[in-house]
Amino acid sequence: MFVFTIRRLLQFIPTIMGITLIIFVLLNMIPGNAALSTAGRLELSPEVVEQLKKDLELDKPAYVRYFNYVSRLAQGDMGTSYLRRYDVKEIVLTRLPATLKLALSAMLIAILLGVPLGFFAALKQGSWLDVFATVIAVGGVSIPQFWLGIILMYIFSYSLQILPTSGYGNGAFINLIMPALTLGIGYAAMLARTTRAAVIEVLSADFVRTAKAKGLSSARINIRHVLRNALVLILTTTGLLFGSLIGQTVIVERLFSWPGIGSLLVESIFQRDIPVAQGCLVVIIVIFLVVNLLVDVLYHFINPQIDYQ
Amino acid sequence: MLNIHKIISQKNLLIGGSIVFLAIGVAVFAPFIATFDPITDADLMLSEMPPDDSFIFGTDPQGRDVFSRVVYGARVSLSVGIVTQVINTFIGVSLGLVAGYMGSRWDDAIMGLTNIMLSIPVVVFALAIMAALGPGLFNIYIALGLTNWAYSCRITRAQVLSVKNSDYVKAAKVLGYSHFSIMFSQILPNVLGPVLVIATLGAAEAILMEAALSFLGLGAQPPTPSWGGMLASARELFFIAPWMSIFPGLAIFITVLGLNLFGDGLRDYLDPRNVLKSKD
Amino acid sequence: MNISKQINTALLVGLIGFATVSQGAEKGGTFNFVAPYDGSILSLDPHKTSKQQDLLVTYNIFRSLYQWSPSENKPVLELAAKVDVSNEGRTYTYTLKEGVYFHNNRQLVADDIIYSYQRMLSMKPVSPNVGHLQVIEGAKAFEKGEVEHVSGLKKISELQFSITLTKASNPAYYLYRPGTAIVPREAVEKAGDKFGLAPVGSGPFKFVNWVKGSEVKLTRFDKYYEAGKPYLDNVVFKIMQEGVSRDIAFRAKELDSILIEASQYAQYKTDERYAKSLVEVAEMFTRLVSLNPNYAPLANKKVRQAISYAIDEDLINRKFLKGKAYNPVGWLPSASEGFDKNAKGFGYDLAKAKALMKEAGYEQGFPLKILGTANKSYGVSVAEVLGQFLSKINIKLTTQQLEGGILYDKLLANDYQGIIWSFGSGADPVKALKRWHSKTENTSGNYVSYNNAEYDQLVDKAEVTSDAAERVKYLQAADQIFKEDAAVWIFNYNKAVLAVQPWVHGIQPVAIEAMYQDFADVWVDKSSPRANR
Repeated sequence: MFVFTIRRLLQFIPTIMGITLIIFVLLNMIPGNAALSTAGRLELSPEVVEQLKKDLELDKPAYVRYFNYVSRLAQGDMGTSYLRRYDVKEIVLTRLPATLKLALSAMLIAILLGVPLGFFAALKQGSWLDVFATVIAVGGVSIPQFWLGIILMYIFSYSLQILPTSGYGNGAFINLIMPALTLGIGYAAMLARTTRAAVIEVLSADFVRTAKAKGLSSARINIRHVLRNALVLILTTTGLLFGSLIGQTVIVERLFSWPGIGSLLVESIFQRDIPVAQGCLVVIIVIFLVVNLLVDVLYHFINPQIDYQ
Repeated sequence: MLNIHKIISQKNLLIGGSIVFLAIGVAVFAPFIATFDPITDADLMLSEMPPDDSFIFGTDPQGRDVFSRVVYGARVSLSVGIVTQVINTFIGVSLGLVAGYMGSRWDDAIMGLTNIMLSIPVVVFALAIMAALGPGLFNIYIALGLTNWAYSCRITRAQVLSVKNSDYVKAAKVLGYSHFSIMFSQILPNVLGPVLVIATLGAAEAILMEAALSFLGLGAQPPTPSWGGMLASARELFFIAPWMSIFPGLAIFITVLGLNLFGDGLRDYLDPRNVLKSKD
Repeated sequence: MNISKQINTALLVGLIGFATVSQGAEKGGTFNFVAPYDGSILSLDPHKTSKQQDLLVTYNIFRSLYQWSPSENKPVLELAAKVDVSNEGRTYTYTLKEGVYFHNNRQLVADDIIYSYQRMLSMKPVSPNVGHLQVIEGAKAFEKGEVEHVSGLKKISELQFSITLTKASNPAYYLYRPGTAIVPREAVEKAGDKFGLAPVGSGPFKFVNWVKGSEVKLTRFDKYYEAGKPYLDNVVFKIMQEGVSRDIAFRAKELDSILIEASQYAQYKTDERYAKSLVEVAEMFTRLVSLNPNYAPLANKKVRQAISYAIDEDLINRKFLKGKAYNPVGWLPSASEGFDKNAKGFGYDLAKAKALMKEAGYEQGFPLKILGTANKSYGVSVAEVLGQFLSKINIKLTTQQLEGGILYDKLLANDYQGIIWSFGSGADPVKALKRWHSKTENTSGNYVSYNNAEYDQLVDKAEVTSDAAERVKYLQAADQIFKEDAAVWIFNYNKAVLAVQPWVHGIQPVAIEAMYQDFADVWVDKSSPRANR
């Protein structure tokens, strides 16, 4: 177990190396002059633009910049923002708590809505109830996020005036509700789908049939055997979804002016503030990898017979 | 073999299938269904008219018929769904076959790449590609087609691993069949089902992703009528001219719902366990 | 005492010339404003950013030597009480106001002005606002590190200093910029790189906190130099990029004022709660389609004129942009000093357009591709509308939407046929027209390589003349030549519109940028949900 964790941690290194290379190539492939973007598209004289390029090391060839970037990153230095002109690490890390808060709440909503819905649908598999539950669940994942957000905002902020339209509100719970709901509903649907499939699988397993043959009440079977066994898979999916969630918050963040890392990432791509974009991506990816590792460890813990060779 | 009774008992499959079929019908017969040309029939004098007899879904700010644009939009959205999934599936299955069948170094390299693809958010990948290439339908195919193949790759690999050591494949090897023909004749048919499910759900995801990219100004190239683009450009008019968002929004909702139901139903029909095993 | 204070305030306001009735201005309360542009605020160090999103906040924390006066529509002295001009209009000697304090309670003196300008000129990476200081003698040499001090900046006494320019001109048009604000040396040096995170200025409001990506909160500065001001206790700038979110938040009374989009304008215009209090301003931005002369048909003046005649910009501005635009008569916008009230635009004349196309030998038309961003007021959606008109003179229009950075590259590289965009055309009319001077490099603003000797001459004359009336005459003549040559197709001057809650007083129409609101003059009455109770 310990060895496994260490080995997986060591595997992070080549993965992160590969990812930084891909990100670097991808971001530098985007046309648009970072130096000019930096200057806010003022009508600058050519000399000023040249000076800017030099100051920002943009006059150096790409491989030199990549090498510098990686060697700095290895020392924990993410560089300096072209536009903000201070430490990228600080820029990214101040935005992280808001994103984590949003992602965790969305995940919680997804679990609270999705798992019961999927469980219920599976027990009545093939019935109209199943269809109904599926339509609700699938409906959640079928609405474009910004549409859902606008509708929620209109209902709760304008018509009912019970929730603030947007903003972080210095961390107030009331500001979190709508963004988390908008993001969570889609994930609830995905989780409902996984839960349903997992429960169906467990239901057809031998031990459930045995339990039924023994004459145990169906409620007891459902809770004691089915849910517990399905939980392993639900947990795995939750972990995977959570990992990817961090990178999917852009639209919700923009609509609700939520100060997270997703909108920062998209903005910095548009502004060609490449150090910030790289910083955001590295953080998002590390979170993804760590969450996945945790899921694996947890999985191992619950199901020790799984062989990782 | 198709099992008619099983299909009928799968209500998801039935409902989803009908919706998808209908959407494809609208896309194919768009010129016959639409009452106006979605691009050239524009007249500023008729801008932002609410729905009436001649414009049943109203008009947009440029004075174009929203109904005709929604009808033609089916072509864009469905093509995004289909083309991207063809590309995704092709990449995913090919890499999965190679990884699973060849094993060792190939496997390590491909699975490493798959993990990287899974960890970089699709929207970021797509955004970078779209920013580099510029907005446009063709670029959307590329951006979304190149980024979402990790799941089908994993599934294919898992399937290959479970079939690889079967007597059947061993026998084929002994008989001197080439790697290539073994992969195609023995392994591929086994993975088709789960991959089809993934592709159907992926198509739904791609349609929504196009809408999301449109929201960020990187969707299909205007004046191409795409649902996502129409929805994104009408968002400020949500309360002023609601017809401009409601109809394309409903079109996306219904189509994506159809695809999702169809995919879920297909999975149930085929066997839920196949897909599950490969997703963990 | 109370009365004298009121009279004092009234007098002051009267002198400065603000239209607001300030008798009875109520004190206290919080004002929720928006930062509506492209996302996060990047820096609150005015020397390190040129983004309007940032500067609309720093505008209230800092003060520049001059400030834009919305009522006079030009920059006026702000930190100095008086200025004397000598040396044939090249040397300006300023006497600073007494009692101007920084938020760290230190008095603002002549050294601060000199320090601030030298800081901008010596900053690494170079300040994006450094261009505004190039008029100062010796700025270049100092920037290059050749000399210790800027020769054109001289301290005379604690509160007196002089600025010598490279040539006779009016420094007000450069030194009013929010990006040339005066900063206190000790605070900058103490904070280093982080000065932009906790700025210290001499403006009416002190920095309180900044939730990155969400909002910036400011609170009143008690030692602010204008008597009795500011009225408000707090101003909060909420970062809200989405027009629809701003709209809902404003209607839910969470915001006191917002910038509204063209699509929402008609709605607000007819809403009796807000229609009367809309603050409309002719901003100094001219919207245009750059026509690339390297594309053969567009090199022909007659074709370009035909395009101008064929398109009914009035209809576009009224129907598509919902009247949130002013019809153009030339390059200089209606708020500009050089605007010609009697000038006329091309108007809509299809017959004339057809005739011109025939004369030019393009009766059969040609394909034209216009590039633009996703912007709703000056992006591809506007260009799409042109197709309706251009098809009538057989021009087959296609459009392509690009992301701003890429579009800008294409503009610089001359890699386009037409580009729809918006360029600044203020505040200094001479500088605005200088853009199209043949000596201006095409990468620095003359994107269509416009070259007309007669035009150049008139602009040059306008630049050197000291007679204001004569200058305007030259400018107007030059502008007419530019319009007649139709080097670019101009379709409007932006009308920026702020929706304001009924309890708000003192929001000004600021022509340089509607969002540059000076909150020293703004107050809210008791009916505000955020009033002082």
